[in-house]
Amino acid sequence: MSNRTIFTASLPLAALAAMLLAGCNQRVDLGPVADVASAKAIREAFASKQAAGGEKAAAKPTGTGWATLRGQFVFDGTPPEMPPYSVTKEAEVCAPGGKAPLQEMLVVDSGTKGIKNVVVFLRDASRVHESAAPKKEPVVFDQKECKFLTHVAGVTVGEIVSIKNSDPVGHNTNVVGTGFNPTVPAGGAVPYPVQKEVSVPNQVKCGIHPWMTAYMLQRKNGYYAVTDAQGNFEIPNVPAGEPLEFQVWHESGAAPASGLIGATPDAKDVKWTNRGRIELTLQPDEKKEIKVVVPAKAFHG
Amino acid sequence: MHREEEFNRLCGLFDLCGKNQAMFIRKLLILKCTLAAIALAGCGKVDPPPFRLNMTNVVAKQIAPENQLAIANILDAMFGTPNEPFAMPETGLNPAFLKMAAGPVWSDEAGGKHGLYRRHCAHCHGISGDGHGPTAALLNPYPRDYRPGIFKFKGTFSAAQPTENDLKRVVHDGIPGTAMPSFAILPPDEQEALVEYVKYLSIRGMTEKALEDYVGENVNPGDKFDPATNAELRTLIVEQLLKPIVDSWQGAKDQVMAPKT
Repeated sequence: MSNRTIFTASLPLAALAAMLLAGCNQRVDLGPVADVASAKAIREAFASKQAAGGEKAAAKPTGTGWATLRGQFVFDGTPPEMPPYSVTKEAEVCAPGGKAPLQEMLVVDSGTKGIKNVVVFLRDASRVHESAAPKKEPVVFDQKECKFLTHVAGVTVGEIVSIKNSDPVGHNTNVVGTGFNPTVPAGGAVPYPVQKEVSVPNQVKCGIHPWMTAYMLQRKNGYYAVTDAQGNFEIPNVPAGEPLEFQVWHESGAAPASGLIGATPDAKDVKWTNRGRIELTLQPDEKKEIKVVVPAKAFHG
Repeated sequence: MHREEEFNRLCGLFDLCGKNQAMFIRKLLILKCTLAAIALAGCGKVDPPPFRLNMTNVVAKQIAPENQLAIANILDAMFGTPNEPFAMPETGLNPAFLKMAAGPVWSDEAGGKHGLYRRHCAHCHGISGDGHGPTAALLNPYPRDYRPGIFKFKGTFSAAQPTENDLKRVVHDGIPGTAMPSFAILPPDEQEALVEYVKYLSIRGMTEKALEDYVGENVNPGDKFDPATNAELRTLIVEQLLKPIVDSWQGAKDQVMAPKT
């Protein structure tokens, strides 16, 4: 037997070993494992927090009076065309006349170029005007022809949302992340009590018609607005005389957590962050109007 | 000669021998190397299993690697490891029960059972309580992920946490129609320890999500995020992130649905 034969004969064994080696090390990214020393330092710091509790951050300045922020979001560029939803069942109800409804990832008004369904909300409110309290009467969130009639809704903690079904077929409305996921019978309604504030709108989906999608923002106070078909919004009675930070959100926003980054060339006092937040201070009784120009690259997809 | 006999025996046994001894030694060497490679390629020494982050949320929140590590460190500080669980007094969890349920599986001389969670639960529900244990893939319906704090088969309103009795009932009765068996055969204190450990994993998972959400929203890559040196951050973590979660568990008993009379 020559050296060559031995070499050839041992090849399969070596290959097997290589496969074993590769097999064992192949793993998905499981994330980091805690570092013992750092964790110990943090635990000791937690235990001694009584001693450190005295130090406090400088209190945020608070002002007096109320002001209004309003404005318009305008698309800069050629707006994309929305494809229809792929309706895969119950077409006689969900695509009447054989026409499926159009998707709403990015809806731009053809005339004014206003962007619909942009969400603007105040992140932290030091005080809340009585007009921003939760509404007593139920807020209606309806679905018809297998489409949520409100694509982006804003609701306040403490309100009761009436999830309606105006279709002759059943729906299953899931407010993702809240545990609310009931079947809404044809022509019926289910109450949804809003309990928790979120910093990013929850997706709303239907378990029966998987193309149906909407968004629901839940806030502790009424300092939020969703732009209308022309891209207009208004948030009245926000605290004046103190720095405010608003989050701007759009379902197709390219910034982290679907934040939307625009520009306000006419308002130099409005500062934008890389998370799609605007910082500004309003004077008492001021009615600030901003025009936000949003380039196409601020959206993904 | 003893060596030569041995050599000849091996030659016959493995049919490996060439014309001379040198050739045989070379072959033996190759065989040894290959075997060594296979042995080395084995999955390495067994470390105690760590808690893993919820990478689905980490990716969704676009958290930078250094901040992922910071979150893992904070969770270790607040909740310990699978072998050495830790409960901050703010959580209201019973450390004695956690100690009973955690750690590796073994029995002492008196017959006391240790590592109850890994003995009875972890193979389906996973070390981190993520419902992703080794046997989970075989089950339909799949096992519960404790981390979001959302449970079925409970007597409270939909958004509320289950009560202690709800969890005890599931451990005691099992869930017919699923792979969840009854643990009625275990002594009551062992069942209670398991319920406490499930609560612990759930509170830990909810705290992890709250931390990740906070970091995703407020901490930029490269920012320092270290509660060891930042008292304000410690207060925030305990008061604003952990406390509402603990409250939601402790308040579950007030959220029990009573039939209308």
